[in-house]
Amino acid sequence: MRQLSTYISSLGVVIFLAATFLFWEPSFKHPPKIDESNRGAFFDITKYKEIVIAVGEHGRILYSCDEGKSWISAISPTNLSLTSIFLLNDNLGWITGYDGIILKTENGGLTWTSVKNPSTTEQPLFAIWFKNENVGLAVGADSMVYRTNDGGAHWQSQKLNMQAHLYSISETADGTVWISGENQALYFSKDLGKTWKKLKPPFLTSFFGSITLSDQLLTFGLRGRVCTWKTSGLVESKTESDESLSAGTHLEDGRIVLAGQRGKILVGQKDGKLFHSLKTPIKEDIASLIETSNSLIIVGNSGIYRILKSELGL
Amino acid sequence: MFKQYILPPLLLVAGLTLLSFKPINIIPESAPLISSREIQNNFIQYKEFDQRNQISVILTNTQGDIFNPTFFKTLKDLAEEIFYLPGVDRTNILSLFTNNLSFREVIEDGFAGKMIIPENFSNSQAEFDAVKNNLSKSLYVGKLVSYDYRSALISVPFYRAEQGLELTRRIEQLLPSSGNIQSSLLGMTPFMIEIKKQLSHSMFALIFSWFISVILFSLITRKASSIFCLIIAPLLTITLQCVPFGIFNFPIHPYVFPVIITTFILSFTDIAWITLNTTKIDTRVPIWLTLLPTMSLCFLGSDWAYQILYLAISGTVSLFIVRYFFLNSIPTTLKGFKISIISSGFKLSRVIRKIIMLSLLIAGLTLASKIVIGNLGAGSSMLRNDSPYLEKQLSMTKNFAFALDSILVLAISPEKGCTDPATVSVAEEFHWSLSNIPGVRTIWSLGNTVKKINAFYHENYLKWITVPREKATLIASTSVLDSRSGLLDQSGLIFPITIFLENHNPQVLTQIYEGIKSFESPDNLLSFKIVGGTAGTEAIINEMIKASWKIILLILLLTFLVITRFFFHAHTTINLCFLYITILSLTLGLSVVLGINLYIDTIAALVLSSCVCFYFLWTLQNMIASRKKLSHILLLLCVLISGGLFSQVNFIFRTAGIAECMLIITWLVGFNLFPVKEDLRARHAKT
Repeated sequence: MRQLSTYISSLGVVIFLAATFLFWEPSFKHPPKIDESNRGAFFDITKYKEIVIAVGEHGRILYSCDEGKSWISAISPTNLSLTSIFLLNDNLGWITGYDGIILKTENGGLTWTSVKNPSTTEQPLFAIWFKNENVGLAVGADSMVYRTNDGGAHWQSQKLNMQAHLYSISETADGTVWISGENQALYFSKDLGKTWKKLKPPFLTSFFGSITLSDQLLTFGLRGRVCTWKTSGLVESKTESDESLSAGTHLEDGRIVLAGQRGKILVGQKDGKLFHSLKTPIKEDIASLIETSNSLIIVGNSGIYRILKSELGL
Repeated sequence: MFKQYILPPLLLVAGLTLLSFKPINIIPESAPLISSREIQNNFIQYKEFDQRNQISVILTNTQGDIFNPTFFKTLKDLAEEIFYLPGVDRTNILSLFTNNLSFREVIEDGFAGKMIIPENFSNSQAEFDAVKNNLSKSLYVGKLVSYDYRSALISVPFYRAEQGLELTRRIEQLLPSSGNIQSSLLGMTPFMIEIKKQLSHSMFALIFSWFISVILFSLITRKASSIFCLIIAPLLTITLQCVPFGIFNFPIHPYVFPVIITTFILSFTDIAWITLNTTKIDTRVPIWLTLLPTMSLCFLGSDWAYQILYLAISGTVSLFIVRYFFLNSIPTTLKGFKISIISSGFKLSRVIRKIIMLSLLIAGLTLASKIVIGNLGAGSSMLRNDSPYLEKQLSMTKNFAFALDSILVLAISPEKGCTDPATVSVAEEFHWSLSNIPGVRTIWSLGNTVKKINAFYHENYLKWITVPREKATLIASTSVLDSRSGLLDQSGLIFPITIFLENHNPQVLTQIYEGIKSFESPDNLLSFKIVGGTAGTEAIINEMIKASWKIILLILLLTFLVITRFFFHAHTTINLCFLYITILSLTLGLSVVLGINLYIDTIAALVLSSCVCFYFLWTLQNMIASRKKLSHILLLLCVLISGGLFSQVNFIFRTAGIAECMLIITWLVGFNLFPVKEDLRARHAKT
């Protein structure tokens, strides 16, 4: 009897051992939430009042309510790369991307839904602009321009008469809408994009972006060429850097900041002249930038950077 | 007859064979650990993708950037001297001064190509500025020069793995030894040379502690013969154990080296116990205790486990031979020591003892539940984080686009390969999914590179960073890459993806491993296989341990149960089992507290040191039962000195640490709370 009890006890020990080790799970701390702002390429950033939104590769839409100090991922319905964003007011906004995708928000950028795809091809769209909640334009690869009169529900396409990819849309103070792109592509429209007139630059270049100077347009692009334009033609052209420039914005005091390859950042006067280079910690290519109260938020092929203006000497 | 005429010559021959013994000859292909399971097959099948036959020489200017005449001259001279060293693959050696090192840039009417260092370079400041500008436009920043332009790299491929050690030594002799230029060598071969250095330090510590232990014993025994035995016996044990390695020129992996050390300690303590004890120990005990638990390691199913098993068996056999050889020479005259805590009147009631035991068990299990599987050290599994070698390597590489820890993954396309946009897009998706894992520093892959080339073809406009959708554009993008880029093979069907990590923290490795395994390729366009890299090997090992460590420990415990039942009464067996579980769990718990994680070498140490511990316990019980007091405190002191010295050395820190935990706990718990002495006395009296 005693022997039996000892064997039962031994069995109990074995079961205990088995249970101890089989249900023993080593602990693994879950990794901290990834730094949303610092992964992958971002192609555009914009702000409306305190809202800042950046878009980039793999359908990423990052949203910040505190001038870029912290970011959350907005709900994106796509995995395609997103190339540009436009916020009309604190509710309405649009995003363009690859495969001609256009996203729309009606709640200030927290959630986005696909609107009707204006393109029947897989070509990307690179810029979008809206005059009001109904009338808007989008441009993209292969000289394609799309126009909507109903907030993006329907789009009419138009192919400009040249072979070029179109990269930017701007509206000057006189109501003229400009589109620019590679291979000397520069067009303006006085009727919100119904008809387009071409300007012929007197030199070989590509325009990667544009910003407005009252009723003039300032373009920047390949190998640092910066030009100002009126509808009558070229006003001034100058090569400001070795690096191509692809981003530009106005500062609160009216000065202009341009940025581009290898972290190049230039600052110039409000009339678009006398640019000089800033010393910057960024070595990566810059795609877009905005100004906030005390910093510049810069996006590019290595993520999002926030640099204090005081560090840049602005 | 055997002892006098046959064994001594045999031992002499065995010793002579060790003259050709290579303690470590680690080339991953021949390392038993690597040649196991999944990684073995992948490793052999895709051998040509491995980057083992490469040494990277980094020169750093500690006082500024690289753009000055002194640095350029040093770099150029070194590159030229390395170029002519025998064994160097001259066609693929790469540095700033490699012929035709060029870059391409976009200009208004197309593309322009230029040399990074122009011909007739004359060391003027303007030319240095031009070189810096050229470099910034090239793809070599982060690869051939650091991001901060303070370091430059020479990549030295060589033809055959066995040339690596000699080549490394020759390059070390060429490195600048003074001035503002600091130098460092990276690669598997320099790493193994460092391991050898650390190993020699460990050996020194072992010999030192051995020396101290012998002195302590000499003070007790005061017999020259016993001191002689203590000196010779462990040496002979190790010699016998390692004979086949010398004869067949087998390499020994560092992971199994702790087993040899444990055998050494086992031999030492075995002789020591015999010296101190007139009672002859049941010789079956060390055999069973060494053999059976170690066999549980076979559940790892790798050559590595078999090698440990072999070492355990050979260690035991060696012990027998040594004991047989020395037994009559050992004086067994010590009697009457009364230093034991048990004999000093420290007694606890049975209930209190059981409460303490139970509390210790619960505490041990609670702590042990937090143990981490994997290697917590950065840079190497065998070097501590704060080792000077690692600190230097990490500081030298922090401004480059690569890191010490890497995982090599092959993306394999069954048919379409690099000319199919959908296939390359999947590779890019894979790159993207892994790049979002914390701890990943950079990834070199075809998918990502093709995106950048596509943007380059569109005047470097960033929004074109995407995998081309058209086949013709994709072919144009991939055509600039050849198999030497390391991003695709000659067939265009295999894309090597190198993932560089900030460290090889187990959590990071687990995430990456799971990320790779769980990535689903649409339509099976690509399959992904881990084929190498320092961290890649570890990731696989971690998974192997995760799958088998519970079974190993369980079998260890069951073996213990069977053995103790063989020697003891049933209720004593139960007590012993509880004691053993407590010791094991407390050892694991203490490992958590000390930051010692569960890795292959610590499992080996756990298994083998548990044998040693139990061996101690068993012998002690015999002595208690036969009322022969002994100075186990003194003996333990010797062992602790050994362990303490080990823990100060990089090489076997965690292994020694866990063995030491085991010994301390055994002593504290087993010797003082062990409730079976009356039973043993009775059993002994009966016999």
